[in-house]
Amino acid sequence: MQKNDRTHFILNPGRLRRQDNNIYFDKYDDEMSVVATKILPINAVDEIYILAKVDMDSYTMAFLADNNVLLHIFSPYQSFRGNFFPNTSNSVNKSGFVLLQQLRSFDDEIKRSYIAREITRVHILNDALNCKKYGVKFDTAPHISALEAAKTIPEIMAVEGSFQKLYYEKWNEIITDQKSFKFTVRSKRPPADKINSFISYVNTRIYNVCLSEIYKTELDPRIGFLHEPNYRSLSLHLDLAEIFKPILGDTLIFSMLNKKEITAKDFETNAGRIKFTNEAVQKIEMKMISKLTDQIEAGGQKLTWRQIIRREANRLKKCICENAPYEGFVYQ
Amino acid sequence: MYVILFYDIVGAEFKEKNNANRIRKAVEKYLPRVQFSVFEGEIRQSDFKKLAAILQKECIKELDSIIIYTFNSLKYSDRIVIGQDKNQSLFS
Repeated sequence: MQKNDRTHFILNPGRLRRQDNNIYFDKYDDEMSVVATKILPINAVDEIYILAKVDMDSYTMAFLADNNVLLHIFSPYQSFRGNFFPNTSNSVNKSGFVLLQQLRSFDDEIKRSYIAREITRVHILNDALNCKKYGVKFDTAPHISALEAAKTIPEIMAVEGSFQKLYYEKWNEIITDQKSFKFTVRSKRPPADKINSFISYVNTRIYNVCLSEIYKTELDPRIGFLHEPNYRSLSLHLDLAEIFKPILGDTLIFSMLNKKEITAKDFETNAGRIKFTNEAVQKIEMKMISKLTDQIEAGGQKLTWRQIIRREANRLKKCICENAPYEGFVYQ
Repeated sequence: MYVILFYDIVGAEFKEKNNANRIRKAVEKYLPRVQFSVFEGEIRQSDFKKLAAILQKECIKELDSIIIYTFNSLKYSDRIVIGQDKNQSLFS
């Protein structure tokens, strides 16, 4: 029996509709006729991930907004398309003070590079701990010292980039199945091979978890510190995810590949694009949910991983608003 | 908190107020359905109190019966399914 993270995944084409002040899902077959109906308990769902072709009307979306349910929409190739965030008092009544402070710290060259450097430092340390766990030697000292010398954001990004390249090379020593999961080069949009598509899928999932936790705080996800807020609409969740990608995502990839829970058969290739089968998505999500509902000891409390991400966002807010020193989360 | 809930609601011919639909709708908003009158799943403590209050109000004490098992931990339990498992509450 699994613990629920109050999320629901829709993997089959169908229709979401509102009936009896509740959400009904009609599953379609190939001829668009209804084969099964399922009731999603509205008070037991916080987020819905849609990974298939789903019909929905504005009446249903309004009902979801009333109940504070977040929708994450993905393309059939499992790339992120966007999300529907309810426009309720919760999302509108954001503090103007926090937004102003966030803008000011973004403009403040020193403060911005301070936060960016701290995030990158924690990212490097967490990655190195991962390597250590699998018995792979990895020397972080030159990267940390290069990071301390870096003054501007492009320099910090350069340190991070060169570190990430070396880190990904270490993956070949960690992953045992070298025949189908050999890591050569990181490629995105679309990922070129199986290991890249696995990384992309898990990272997207962590970005979304971070995003929904940021929405619960008063921070504005549009203004990021390490990542430039250029043409992407949102970037703060990318910063936050840098800390948690090695802890949650990379360990999940290593353990699932080394225990042979995901093999080369779990991928479908179609016209050069690679995607998971529905069964593989279910396997990964079960692992992900058990990970997110795991409780660990942090600061004298027992917290789930979701709460730790939220705590991290609140710490960032404290650093932005009250000039408190910010120290990132390093998982021991 | 994990909950298993099942009920028997007496039909309309024995009472003036037919409450079967009202009870069904109330429970469906909080718990996933496993069988026709059996529901089980994770629920928050606060949500459980709300649900219990609604059921307390809707239930006709002389005729209907609702039984709820609550678990704080599932360490000593084992769920065995023979045939179809309809409780795939995470995926659809």
